[in-house]
Amino acid sequence: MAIGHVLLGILERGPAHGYDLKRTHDERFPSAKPLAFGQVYAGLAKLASDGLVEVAETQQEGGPERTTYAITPAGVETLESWLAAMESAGPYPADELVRKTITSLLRGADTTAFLQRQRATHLAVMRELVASQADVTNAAASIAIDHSISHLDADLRWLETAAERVAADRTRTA
Amino acid sequence: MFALAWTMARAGGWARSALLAGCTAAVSGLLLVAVALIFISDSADEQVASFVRDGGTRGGVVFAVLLLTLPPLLLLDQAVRLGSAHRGRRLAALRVAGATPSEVRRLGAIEVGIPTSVGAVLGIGVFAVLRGLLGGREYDPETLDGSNFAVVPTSGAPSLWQVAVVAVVAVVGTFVGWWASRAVVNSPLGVTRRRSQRPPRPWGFVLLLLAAALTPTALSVNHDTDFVPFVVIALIVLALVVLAPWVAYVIAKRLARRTDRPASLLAAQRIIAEPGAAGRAAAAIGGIGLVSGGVVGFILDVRGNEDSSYMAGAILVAISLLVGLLVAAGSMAVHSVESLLDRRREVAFLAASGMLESELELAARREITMVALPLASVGSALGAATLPVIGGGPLAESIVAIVLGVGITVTLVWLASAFAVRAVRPWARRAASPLNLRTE
Amino acid sequence: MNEDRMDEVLLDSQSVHKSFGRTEALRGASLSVAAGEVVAVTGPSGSGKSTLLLCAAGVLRPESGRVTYAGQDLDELGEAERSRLRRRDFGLVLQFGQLVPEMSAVQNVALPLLLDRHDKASSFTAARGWLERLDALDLADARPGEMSGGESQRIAIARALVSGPRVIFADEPTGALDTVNSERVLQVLLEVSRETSASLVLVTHDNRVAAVADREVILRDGSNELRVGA
Repeated sequence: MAIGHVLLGILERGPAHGYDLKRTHDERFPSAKPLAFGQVYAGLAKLASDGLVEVAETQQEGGPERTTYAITPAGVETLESWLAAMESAGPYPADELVRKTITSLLRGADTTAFLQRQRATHLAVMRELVASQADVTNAAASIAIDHSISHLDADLRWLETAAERVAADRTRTA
Repeated sequence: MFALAWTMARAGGWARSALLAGCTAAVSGLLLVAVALIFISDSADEQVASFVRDGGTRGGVVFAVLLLTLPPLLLLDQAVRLGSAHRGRRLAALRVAGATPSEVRRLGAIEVGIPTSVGAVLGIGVFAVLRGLLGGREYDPETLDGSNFAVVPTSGAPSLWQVAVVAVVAVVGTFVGWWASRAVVNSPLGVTRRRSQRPPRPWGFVLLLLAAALTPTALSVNHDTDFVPFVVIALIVLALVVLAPWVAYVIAKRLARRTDRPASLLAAQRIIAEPGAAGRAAAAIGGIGLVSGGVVGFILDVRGNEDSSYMAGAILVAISLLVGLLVAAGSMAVHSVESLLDRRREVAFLAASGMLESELELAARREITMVALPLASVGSALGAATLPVIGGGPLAESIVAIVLGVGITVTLVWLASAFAVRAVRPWARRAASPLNLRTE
Repeated sequence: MNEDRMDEVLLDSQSVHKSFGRTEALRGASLSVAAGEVVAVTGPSGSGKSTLLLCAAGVLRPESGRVTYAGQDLDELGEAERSRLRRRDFGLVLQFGQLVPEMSAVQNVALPLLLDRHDKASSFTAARGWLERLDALDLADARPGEMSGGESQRIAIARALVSGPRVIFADEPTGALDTVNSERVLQVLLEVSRETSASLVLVTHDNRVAAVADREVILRDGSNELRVGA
């Protein structure tokens, strides 16, 4: 439902058609994957069937049909209750990175090499994010990138600590 | 309480305690000499210098001895400040740990009070040494004239007065320690150093005006006002001490605007930030210049005089001046050490970013000479001019006196600054070490 | 480092050993930097990052190993020559505590030029220019004690850049700053390095800072981390 709520948030500022919604979404979340048109229209259809948005206007001037959507009072209510509900702070499920690291460590394989390659991969993404941070000018976009950077940074620091623990473990057993 | 204070004093390092004790010993010894001079009995069977035996000039000798306590007092003041940033942090840590303001004050009092009390008692030893070197001899009809160097009377028995002097010095020392820890007491987070101080104000001019107003009386030959010249000199000395930080500030401000020499700029800015230390030392040096100029004039005047006791007096004064100058330079050295210890990281950074050791030393030297040299020149010129002008001597002689007085004083001050910088070199090297840049 | 860039190496430290008392800070660490290159030196605390930076910058003399700059072996230079080299060709930025507390911001920035015998007027004009560039002209007459951490760090950077260094050494330049201030400080360092083709050596434990570098050198226990299978 996350995309639906984001669409409601955009529509609350004024009616918009599918293409506008996609563009605004991508501007708001520059570090996220760009929305596909299919996702936008599927989301809108679901919102419309729930009575949260309605068709405001349909235009057809030579080109393909362009439908403009508007948020309904029920839609505003749903948006507000979504924002009022606090996100849980975890526990996070073990993701692929953790699974791989632990497995490689317990297998007795060269975890150091794995951790080094992983750090390089993470740092490469970090490099792109930091560069895009320098390019954006509006606060909302910066904040969205900040979130990705912070998570990436947490992973990088976790990788560093893991590397140190592996090194310490090796000197202890050696 | 006492055990804690003792631990704190040891954490402050023996050097500071030794310096405190040494200065206090010098002050207390000199005060004991002054007391002995005041209570000399006219009927004593003792041969002393004629200017000590003569009731008319004895007052001047007492006054000179009191003036001599100024340089060690200055050094004492600087020594109390030595490590104040560290001590401030230590006392502040105690405050955070729950010590009450009065307990912290008491700790500060004990920390300074112990070495100064020890020094006050050691002053008896200083007195004994001075007595041995410069004491009067027992009456001997063979050599009727007392030694010209016998200025310390030995006849008087140990009196209650001497005990009182030692006690007062110890109490004052303890009070200074109590006073110095006031700042920490106000804020448990420690003294906020490095905040710019308020520029000093030239209040000392009021004292100078007062001295000027009294000068006609001082120069009159009326015997009822014999004490007034001393009042005038005391006022001038006090004015110099009060004015010195302001003079230091003004000179440094001017120089900082004009100079393009980094060493001078650094020195000037340090003085502007803290004009007190440079000013006080310069005041002492200026005072020494005043007297030494006078002595040069005096020596030129009494050359060839039959009564050799004048020459002896002048030599004694000259030696005292030299010691005083060294002590004043020493107080600047102590101040330099203090500021180096306090800014190790900044000094190390200056060295790391390419400032040569010689340039850093030059800055330290300029910090001393920038204010001290002008004050010493003016002081010695005034001192050297006084006697010929009052005595109405020939113009040529006045000029010779001034040139010689200023020349000798300036050379001595320059040598003293070189000595101070040389004495500080080990600390300067340690401060400039890149080890102070390491954070891990 | 890329093989085809080896010929433009500006700064080269090889197998550097340095001890402090009984602590061996560096055991054969190496760092080479090409002209205009931005290199991050990372690693756990105590791994010798700062020591390596100070050795490469000719501040510390290593016990063994070779440190060269523009082909010149720094060990062959006397203390005064090393000082002059640091003054003219290097700019040094630390985490904190590098400004002379008694001097105003503009005086602090002008100091390296004055040390290099530039005349007063041109030194202060250049210093003001750098302060303006760093949005700190309004701080020109403030003393370090009257500034915030971010402000004094910008002054420190202006001072490091004023002499037009060919290498900028920065040891945790953003270590004491919040995210927004550190972004700003980092941005200026990068811009200047790009404009003047100055090399930039960043010692850091912050991944954001490491991410702006062209290349990362990781230290562990005083030597370079062994690249396994890379």
